[in-house]
Amino acid sequence: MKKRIAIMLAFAVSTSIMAGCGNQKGSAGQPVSTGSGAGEASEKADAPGKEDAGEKSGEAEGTDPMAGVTDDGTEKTITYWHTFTEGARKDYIDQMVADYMEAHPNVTVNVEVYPWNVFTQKWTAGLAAGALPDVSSVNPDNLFAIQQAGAVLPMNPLIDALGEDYFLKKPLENFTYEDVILGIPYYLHSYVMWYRKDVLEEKGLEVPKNWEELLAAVKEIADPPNQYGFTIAMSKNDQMCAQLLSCFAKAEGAALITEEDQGNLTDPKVVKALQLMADLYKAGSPEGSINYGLSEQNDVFFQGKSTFAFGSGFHINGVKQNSPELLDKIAAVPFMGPDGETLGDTAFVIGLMGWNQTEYPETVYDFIRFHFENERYIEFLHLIPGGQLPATTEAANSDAFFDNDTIRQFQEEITYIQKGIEKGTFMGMDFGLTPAAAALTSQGIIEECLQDMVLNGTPAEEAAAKANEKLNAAIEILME
Amino acid sequence: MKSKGLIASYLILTIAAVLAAGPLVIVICASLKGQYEIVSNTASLLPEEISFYWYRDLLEKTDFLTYVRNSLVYSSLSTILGMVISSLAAYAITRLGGRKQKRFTRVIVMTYMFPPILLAIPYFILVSNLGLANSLPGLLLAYMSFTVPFCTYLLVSYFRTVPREIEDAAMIDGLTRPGVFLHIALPLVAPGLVATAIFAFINAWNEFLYSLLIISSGSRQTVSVGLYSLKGGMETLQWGDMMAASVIVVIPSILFFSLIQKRIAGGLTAGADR
Amino acid sequence: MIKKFVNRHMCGVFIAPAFLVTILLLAYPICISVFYSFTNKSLLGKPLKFTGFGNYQSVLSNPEFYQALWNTMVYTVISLSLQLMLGFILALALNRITRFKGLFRTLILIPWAFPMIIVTFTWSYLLNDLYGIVNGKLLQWGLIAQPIQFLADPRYAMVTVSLVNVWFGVPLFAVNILASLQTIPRDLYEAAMIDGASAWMRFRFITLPFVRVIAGLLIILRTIWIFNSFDLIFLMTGGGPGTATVTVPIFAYRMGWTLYSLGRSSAVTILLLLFLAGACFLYFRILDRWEREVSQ
Repeated sequence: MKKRIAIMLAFAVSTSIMAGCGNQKGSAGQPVSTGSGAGEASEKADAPGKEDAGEKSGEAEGTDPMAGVTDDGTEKTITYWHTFTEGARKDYIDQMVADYMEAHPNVTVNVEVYPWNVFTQKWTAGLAAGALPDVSSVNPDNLFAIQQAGAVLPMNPLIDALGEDYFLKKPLENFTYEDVILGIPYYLHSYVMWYRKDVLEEKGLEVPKNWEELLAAVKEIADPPNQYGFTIAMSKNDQMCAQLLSCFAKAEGAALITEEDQGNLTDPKVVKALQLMADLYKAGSPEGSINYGLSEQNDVFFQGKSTFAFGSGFHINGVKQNSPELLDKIAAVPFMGPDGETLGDTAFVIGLMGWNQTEYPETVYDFIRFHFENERYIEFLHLIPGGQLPATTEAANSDAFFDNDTIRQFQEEITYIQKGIEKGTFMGMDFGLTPAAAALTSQGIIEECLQDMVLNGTPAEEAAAKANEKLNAAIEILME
Repeated sequence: MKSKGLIASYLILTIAAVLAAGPLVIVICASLKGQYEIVSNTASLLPEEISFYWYRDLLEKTDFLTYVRNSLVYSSLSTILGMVISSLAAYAITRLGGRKQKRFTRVIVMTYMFPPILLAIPYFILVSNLGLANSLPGLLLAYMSFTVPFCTYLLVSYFRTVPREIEDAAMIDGLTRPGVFLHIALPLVAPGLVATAIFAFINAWNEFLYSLLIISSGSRQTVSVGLYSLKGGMETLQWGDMMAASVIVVIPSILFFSLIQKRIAGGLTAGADR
Repeated sequence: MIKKFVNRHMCGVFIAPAFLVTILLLAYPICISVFYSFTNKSLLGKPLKFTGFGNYQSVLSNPEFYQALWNTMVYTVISLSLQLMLGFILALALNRITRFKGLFRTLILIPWAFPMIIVTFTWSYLLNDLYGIVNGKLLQWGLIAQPIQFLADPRYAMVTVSLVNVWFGVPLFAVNILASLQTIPRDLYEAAMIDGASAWMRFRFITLPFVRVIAGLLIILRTIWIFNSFDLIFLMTGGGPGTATVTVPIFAYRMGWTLYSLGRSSAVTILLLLFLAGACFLYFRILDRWEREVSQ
């Protein structure tokens, strides 16, 4: 008898949980705030579509409705997830949040911080449970899935309020899907090829101007385990091969995906770029780089053991922290195609997004806007000088941004990076935010392809064909 | 003959101790190397010059000590809760005896079979729906999923070694069931309890995924999540920080072990005499 | 009569919390996984459709799944057998010695004090090809000309991660076997000595029967644990190089978490469960026999 009751009780508990699971969307979506636009916004949030953008713009007229609703005196709590786990940037965000709460005493911002490499875990579980932050930092490739799951708060009202020219055009495009702006670029960079001036000089080599010269230089320089040429990091937990392949293939004018949302890895130009990467690995990458991710790859360069490296302006900071004596000896050039031309660049955007089930959309917009108040924003960008380039038109053209010793020292490199940002696109986002772009980086497909080539000696065409098939299968799962 | 076995025992234990402790020694030495020496001076075990740079760096950059305190609190609570639940259940299961006992223990093992990586999503849904996301009870609930089955299962086998006759005698002397459990059975299996509790503690202490998903607000993070941030949050590997962090995390546990390991030695017979 | 009632009553109350935890925390995910495995359940908010055995078909027709299953078995067998063997030897040695008992017990326990994430950091650092001390020393002594790729060479990677797992797991066996050695009543040995039993016979007929039940349980628990373990390999190699260390949990993770396809990853989970249930069934048969021997 006792046992039966216990079983029934347990069953009741678990079924009520399952029922709760089904209900969560409805209850979380109920507008609680009585503010003017809140009900409307959450209604729209359920069906983000093209029509939102136009309709919303009307609200932005007059005196700042976002600040108005935010400061209406009612208690508001929003959650903010960010991924700046380390010292200076973490402290900066804490301070900024404190400033915001001081300026808006009725708003509480709960901050959660977690490392980038667990973004997937954190968000997948959050999506499953419908427990997401009101504001979060985000990458465009993750944003696709979040958008598919119907969790993105359109940023169109914020852009309407700030004006279309407030942000640089190209980065904003990377966050736009069918006219809906899914996120706001926070800072930017693009990839260039870093090299060691002193090592090239010592060997009497010129800065390579095409792939042949690059390969020859790497062969000439490689002297493991003391000096390596070009580190090709292939860990499937990271996306370094996808990034580098995008750089080489883009420089040659080929995209990694097609306009029809299919993989484009079998394109002869892409195959050629894959072959180059495999050759570079053999010619002068640490053998163990098969397991390297971003940080391991960068370390080889930061510690002066690699002559070439691909990366953004973050490399300046990395070298400065690890081997300050090398800082005068590094320089960068844009990626080039096989004949020395450059037909495209790969840019990287780190953005901010909102959750469409938020109770306080106005506060979310207002808080995001707070990030970009000019002086504060430039202070943030200068935390990693040269690594974080401005996303707002004002900051990008301001003298204040360039008023920094490190940025002055690397003026030329930073100009290249800025140019890359202006005309570059995010990996696989040549045709916007698409499932293909999401599958390209999340599955380690390119990394596996490279591993296949260097470990098993699979010819480039064959490995590319296999990878392409995998990529298409993954795209299909994402679209089904 | 007897001394031969004894010498062999000491020899084996010495080798094992070197293998077990060696990595720790290397980590301690590495953590004391200077800012640049940590990656440049690789072939030598000892630092050229003892430096506390990485400890300062770690404590300045992160709230590491807070994470350690959080983890200690969460793991202790999880261990206590888990041990209470499991020892009660394990004792009752052994007193059921026979077929029922077997059936219960096997059900428990089955529940242990789920890969945690795949339980994470359902748990997070569950915890969120109970309104326990980002709370300590939510985390403890998730921790019970691996603590209770494991501990119950191990404890069943320890309680089984308690002779029934002793209990029956005690009950004739007027002790109630709970009294027998508290005053007779528990002391008798003390070594097993300690071994099991250590395991429960270690499992909670090491846990990463659930604590990442359920509690990751900056100031309430666990050590594992904090450590992961050191590895994955930056553009460059911070070996020095990690080594310093490892020392801070591992040394207290070892001190704890050295205190508690005696309990493992207290044998069954010693307990029965008292 | 009354005593019997109290007895039964007590049992129910004692078991209830554990039973609730089990139901709440395990029956729920199991039910939901079984359910999802027959659907196209995705986190991307698509309408839920029943797909029958579609998920199972697509998993079972994927050669990578078999590769992962094989890798998992290799990893489990290497790790488990070495952990058991070394743990047993250490427990016997610890039980034997008369001085420095506490010191040795503490030293042997050290790997256990390492959270898994530190285990992987530490060993990645020690075995690193560019600045690891192991390769550093070997190069310094002139034993090798190029660093050994412990984790990047497909031939060594699985052995390396297994050995790291052994390093981490031996203390568990040692301590538990030691604890069960201590529960053996001394008078059994004394009686055997008086009867003139040799050391081997005492081991075979007293030590082994007592210990092997605990050891058997540990084997079951560790088999499951190792089979399902994710962190160690994921953090050290991510499944690479190539597919050399892809285990079933890593395979399922890539399905479920990065493709948002809960349906498929649930199918992998259920298959994994069936496999483990089979293995446990076998273990239980053996354990049953041992238990009967003990009670005889």
